[in-house]
Amino acid sequence: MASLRIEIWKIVIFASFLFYICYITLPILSVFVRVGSDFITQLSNPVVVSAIKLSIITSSVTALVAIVVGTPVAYALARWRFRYKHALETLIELPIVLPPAVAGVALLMAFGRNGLVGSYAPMDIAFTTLAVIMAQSFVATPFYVRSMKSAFDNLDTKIEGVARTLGASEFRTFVSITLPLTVPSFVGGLVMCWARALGEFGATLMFAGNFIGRTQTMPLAIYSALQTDLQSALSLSVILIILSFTILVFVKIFGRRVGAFV
Amino acid sequence: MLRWLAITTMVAIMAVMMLGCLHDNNEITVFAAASLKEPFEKLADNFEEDTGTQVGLNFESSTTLRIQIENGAYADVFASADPLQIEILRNKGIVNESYVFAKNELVVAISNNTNISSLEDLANQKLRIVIAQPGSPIGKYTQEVLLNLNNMYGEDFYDKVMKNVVSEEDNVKSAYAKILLGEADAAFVYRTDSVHTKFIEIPKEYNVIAEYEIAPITPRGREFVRYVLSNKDVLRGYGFIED
Repeated sequence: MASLRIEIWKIVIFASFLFYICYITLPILSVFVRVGSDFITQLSNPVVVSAIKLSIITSSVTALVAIVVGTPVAYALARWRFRYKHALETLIELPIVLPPAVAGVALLMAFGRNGLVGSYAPMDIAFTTLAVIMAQSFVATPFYVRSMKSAFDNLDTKIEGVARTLGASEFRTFVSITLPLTVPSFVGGLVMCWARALGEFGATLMFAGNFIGRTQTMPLAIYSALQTDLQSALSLSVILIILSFTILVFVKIFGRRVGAFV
Repeated sequence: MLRWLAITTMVAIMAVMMLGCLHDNNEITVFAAASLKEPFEKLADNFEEDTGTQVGLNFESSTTLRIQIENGAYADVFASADPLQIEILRNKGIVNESYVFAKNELVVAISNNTNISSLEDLANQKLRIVIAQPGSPIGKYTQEVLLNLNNMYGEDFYDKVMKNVVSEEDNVKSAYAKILLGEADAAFVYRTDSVHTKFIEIPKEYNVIAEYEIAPITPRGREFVRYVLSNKDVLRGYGFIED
């Protein structure tokens, strides 16, 4: 009787597992099945090409900005002690859970023509490529900051202390000791940030609009193409699936390899 | 293994089918062009009062709605801003009968703090113009009007205006929203959308008349279609041209 119960339990687990795998695989597989041989020809479709270009450029700029701005922020959050630190940390992480549509509206209210800041800006920001990067940065940078902050948190400060007693300046210690030790988190955080920027849709649509070559990134192009040209929507989807999969595999392999000797 | 795959798939399909049946049987689901939002909300309210049957409304670009219906979205009624979407569904055997029930025309909605005073100004530099994407009915009409206007203002008018376009929105309501927000200077919309801001008329000979068609998709939908057809005065009240 007891063994029968275990068997049923196993079956339940197995069925759930199988169901879930099918549930994830089927939609993705369907995109590949439907796109067929048209995929190659779509790669020369100007709309598809400009969406790919714009997506790569904007998400890469977003990733660079995250490094420049996010690294000091993560460092301060991990190492410094100041008032309201937890509140500020929560605020910084807010865009991770915030619905992108809210981010879009918020950016409009701040940087739009009639926005708190935007009305004083010398140029219009909304509907420009800059707006795309701003939308992506808003939602994606926290992924990098969070990853780097935990790297700084978990780093053994004794190693840095040794470097300091050997005469290295604080800056020198940071560059040649602290930063190299954070490489796994750096790569992981950066890739997540980049991937999130690449997939950004809601905030971009609201704040940057939808214009080919200027603000129409791949997710927006998919959305638009659904109305006119299903094949290019499918082709862009295939590219994003492949990119996302590659990113994930890369993070997993890289994480494992680095984890082995750190 | 194979048997398990088959069983799991069956269970999954049954679960999905059960969820699919979850829509309220007492409700009539109406898919309607975004520009029909205000009159159809009113018509639905009246219909609910008169018959006691609830109406569920889904507003989007007619093209998006048509694609949703093609791909199996449940709708009892489809009201489109152009006959083409209905025609596509008719060719697929999803729609059998349809009726023109209203007409509309295009205007150029302008934001309150812009200095546009004529259609010709749309070709001026540094303007921010928003249009609906060419796949949607309003987007297609916009292209037609712009090409017509070439005859009035010269060959490069179309190109100059298109250079000022900063965004191609999914439907007419999102295009008009950019005017309401003050983010864009001008947008091509239906006359019936431009109720909160100023607008510029497009001369009759260059304008396009949009024909709205309504079609029942299920037998249950007929009741609501008949209701719309016999209450066209509601649409007139919102500025639609009666057919």
